Amino acid sequence: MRYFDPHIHMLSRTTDDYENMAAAGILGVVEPAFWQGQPRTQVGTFIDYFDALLGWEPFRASQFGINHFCTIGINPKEANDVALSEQVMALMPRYLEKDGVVAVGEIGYDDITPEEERFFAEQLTLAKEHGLPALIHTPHRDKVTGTERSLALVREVGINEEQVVVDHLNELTLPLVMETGCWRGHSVYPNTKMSEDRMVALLKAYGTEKMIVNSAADWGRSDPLKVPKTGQAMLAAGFSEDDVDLVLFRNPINYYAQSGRITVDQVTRPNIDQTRLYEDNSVLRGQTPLIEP
Amino acid sequence: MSYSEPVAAATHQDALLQALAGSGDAGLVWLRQNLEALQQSAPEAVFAKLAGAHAGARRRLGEALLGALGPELSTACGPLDTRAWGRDAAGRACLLLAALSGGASHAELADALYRSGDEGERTAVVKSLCLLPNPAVALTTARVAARTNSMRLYAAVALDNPYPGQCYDDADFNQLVLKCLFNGLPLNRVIGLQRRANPRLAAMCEDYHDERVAAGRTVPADIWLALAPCASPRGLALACARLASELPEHRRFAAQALVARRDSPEVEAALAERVAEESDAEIRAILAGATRAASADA
Ligand SMILES: [Zn+2]
Repeated sequence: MRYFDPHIHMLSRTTDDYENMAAAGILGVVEPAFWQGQPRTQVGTFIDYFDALLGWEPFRASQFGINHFCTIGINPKEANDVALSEQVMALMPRYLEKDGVVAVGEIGYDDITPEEERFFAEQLTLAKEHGLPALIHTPHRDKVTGTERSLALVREVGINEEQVVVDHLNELTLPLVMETGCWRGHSVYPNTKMSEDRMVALLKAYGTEKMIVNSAADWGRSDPLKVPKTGQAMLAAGFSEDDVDLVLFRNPINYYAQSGRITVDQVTRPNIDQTRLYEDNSVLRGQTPLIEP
Repeated sequence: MSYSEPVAAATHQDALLQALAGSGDAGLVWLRQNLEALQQSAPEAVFAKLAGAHAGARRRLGEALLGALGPELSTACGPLDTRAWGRDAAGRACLLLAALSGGASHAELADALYRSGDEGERTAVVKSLCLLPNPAVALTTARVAARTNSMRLYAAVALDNPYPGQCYDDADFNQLVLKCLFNGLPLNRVIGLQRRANPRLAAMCEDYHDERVAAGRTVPADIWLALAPCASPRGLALACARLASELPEHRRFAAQALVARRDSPEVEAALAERVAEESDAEIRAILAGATRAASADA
């Protein structure tokens, strides 16, 4: 089976993860810009972070045969720092034109504050202006309210619902998104959020259309192999290989393909050339380079 | 350093636009709109506009090579061949040139554009540095780019680009040549190598040769292009010995490099001796042509 993880924070993962992901059939990933576990204090840190998402990390991924794309945005937690967020907003138009950027995100609510709402709305507008999809993070706390208000803001800003994915859904919030044209994102985590079996149950209840599954793996306890593991659970539950390919490969890519910067046909196993060097750093640490013909 | 009279940025821009128009319609309307907007924008607004358009240019214009339509541009660094440029690089150069007309500092604008770019954008910026009215102002940018180990970007600085040959000092130029040797980038595409070769470069190449031999590793065949022009007597002897190498690439590059050193009687003798023995017709022609040319010159 071929897989695509449409939401994973690879900057905080190891080369072992890349190797295991490639071995499990993952051909590509999207890394949404998010927070770094602690709030940034200056705009320069955002610049370097965005540049890493567009430079070093895609290079690192390519060394393991994985296609890497990213989304650019101010996350809801840091949107509460208004002065800093205003500076980041000023940078965004030029980043949103980069070839490797396939959406604005992740944006949305965390504590559901007026500051969060301001930058959420402004970024939805930017997405509209740049013809980019928008990746919406739904909060851990007060999730139903956060989801309802996110959907209301989507309508208010007037961005096409087809261009929006609402992420981290569960049994309570998925039905709210089913009533809209938005895509449905689910993060399968080791303990919280969603498990493979619950995911399979949701697919049985609601079908496969616009359904998307990711690992959302980051610097916390998480599992970068949750997408292929969900594929195994789907097959075990009687879904066809084509169903698995649709939900875990074609759906997420076709959602991001609305950016005009990625296609299903483009996401194949790239030739691995580990001798290619990037910016004075090689991921090779004395091992023998692997070169595929 | 100035090679010839500076050519107006607008002239280069027109020539590239003409080549773009000749090779397809994709993105042309978009490009012209952005060029116009850049020419009209205030100096403080020009960078944001330039950076956005520059980033999105590949998607609009495509990557097809200009090929035969690519003009040879007369730059302050000498002639610049754009036939191997893609439509994206050509369009990005036009955008940079249009932005320069707004009165912003050329060095700052080129550097900011380089720093804000992804790999493709950075490649385009370094390819177009010679098009600046005074290319030397962008030396810092070129030197930063030459520190990269992304070979795609490095090749854009070092190969088919008159910039380093014209604007680098000897220390930087020598490092560039060595880095090409280390990474297997072909020295015959380093523009101005023959003119810029110097005794220090010859000594560095000789050391590199010795290190490779001591480590039991192969010596890059094109090393003779950088080593021979200002070689020490020992360096010349090393090159002459390679005229009889088992490897045709070594024989070819040694012959090519040594024909310019026939001022040395030892080299002249080695070339003349080798003509009779060389089995490869192409290499024999290099050797023979050289000896004929030598007698004609005399
Ligand atoms: Zn995330």
